[in-house]
Amino acid sequence: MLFRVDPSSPQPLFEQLAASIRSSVGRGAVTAGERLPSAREVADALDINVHTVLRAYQALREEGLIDLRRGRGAVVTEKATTYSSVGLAIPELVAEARRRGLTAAALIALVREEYSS
Amino acid sequence: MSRTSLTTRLLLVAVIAPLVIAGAGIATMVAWLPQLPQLVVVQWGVTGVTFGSPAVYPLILAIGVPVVTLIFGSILAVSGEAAASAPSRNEKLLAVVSLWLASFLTASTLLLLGFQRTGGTFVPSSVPEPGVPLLVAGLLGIAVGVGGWFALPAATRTAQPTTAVTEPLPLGPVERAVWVRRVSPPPALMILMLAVCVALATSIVVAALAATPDTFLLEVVPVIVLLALLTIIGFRVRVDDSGVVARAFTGFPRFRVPLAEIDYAAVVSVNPVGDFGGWGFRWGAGRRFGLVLRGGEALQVVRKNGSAFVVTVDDAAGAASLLNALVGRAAAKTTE
Repeated sequence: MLFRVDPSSPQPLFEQLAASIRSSVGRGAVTAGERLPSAREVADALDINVHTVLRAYQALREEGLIDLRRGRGAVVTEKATTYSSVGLAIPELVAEARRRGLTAAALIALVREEYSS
Repeated sequence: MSRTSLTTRLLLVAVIAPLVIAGAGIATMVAWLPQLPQLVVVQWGVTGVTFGSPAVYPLILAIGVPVVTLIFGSILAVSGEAAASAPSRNEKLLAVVSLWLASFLTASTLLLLGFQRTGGTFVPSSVPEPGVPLLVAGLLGIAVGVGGWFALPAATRTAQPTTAVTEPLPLGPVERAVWVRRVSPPPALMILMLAVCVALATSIVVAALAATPDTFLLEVVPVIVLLALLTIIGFRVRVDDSGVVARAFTGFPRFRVPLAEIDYAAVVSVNPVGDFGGWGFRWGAGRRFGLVLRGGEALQVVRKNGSAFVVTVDDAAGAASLLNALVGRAAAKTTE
């Protein structure tokens, strides 16, 4: 499980953190049932506020990707399978976009458009 | 040679041959029963000998050899690396030690009992001094073991696994990253370890209740074994800009390689018996120290002095790519 934050990026830290957990699940490195390290441990290792980590965990819980249980910590749910199987299609999509000279921002805009329609 | 036929041949030497040898020994002893006294010497001690039924001898074989073959056989059965086409030296050694133990046990009991065949009545002069029979049995066992070694296919050279440096993770100059993962032994090994732990704990409690000063010392060994087993129930592996650290769930021991000492990290596949001679904290060929809780995917951290730390863990590729990125970034900073 890889956690990463870049303080020089304009994206909020908690969003970056949530994105890195999603990406670990997406490439199949983390599967359902896996327990995430405690927020305190992640906060110490990344030298960020523990509330930032908790906020990221909260966001993932709202997505249904993790379960937050007292005493057991954050556990990855069955939904991980969905993330990793959809994740498999991403490299192909990105490769195709690159080949045709589409920027990341343009591709993301297209995906967002598709969702809202 | 395919893995299945390789495993079959290893088990032939480690299990089938010892059982056949012990079976022949037991059959011989049973045939001797009419020529033996009702009581024979079964134990030699400093202060004298102990008498017992001649049936003790075949019983030792009937229990001892199956236990030996079960232990060695099950290790060999689960240790195999699917891709291996020849046995490793460690695998051959395990199979041959099983064969040697069984041959030694059979030969020594046969010799010690054989001398006591007096035709029904006990004759003190027929009781052998145990030294020479044991020595002869030991040599016979070695001869059989050597035979077993050459009956097996030649061992593969423990080739240094090809360690392609894992592609570093793209990392920004001020980006912070940490990789963490837990690792535990496979369920089968875990159950076995827990069973041993329960047995040890029971024996320690029982002995503590019946404690006398001289049995107290004997308890030191089970306590150490119990503590050692508890430490390998699980580890938490962490990679961050201080390097890599593997810490037992029990808090101790802790293994650490500081970032400044690391040359590069790679993903390797570990065969516990073949590469490290078993599970646990192990030294392997090529100055590799291993934290081996299971077979398969492992993170190999190579130090600048050439020695390596290996820990079996899932997503080793993720750990290695982050470690290489951190090493690269630290090197770039110092050259600036």
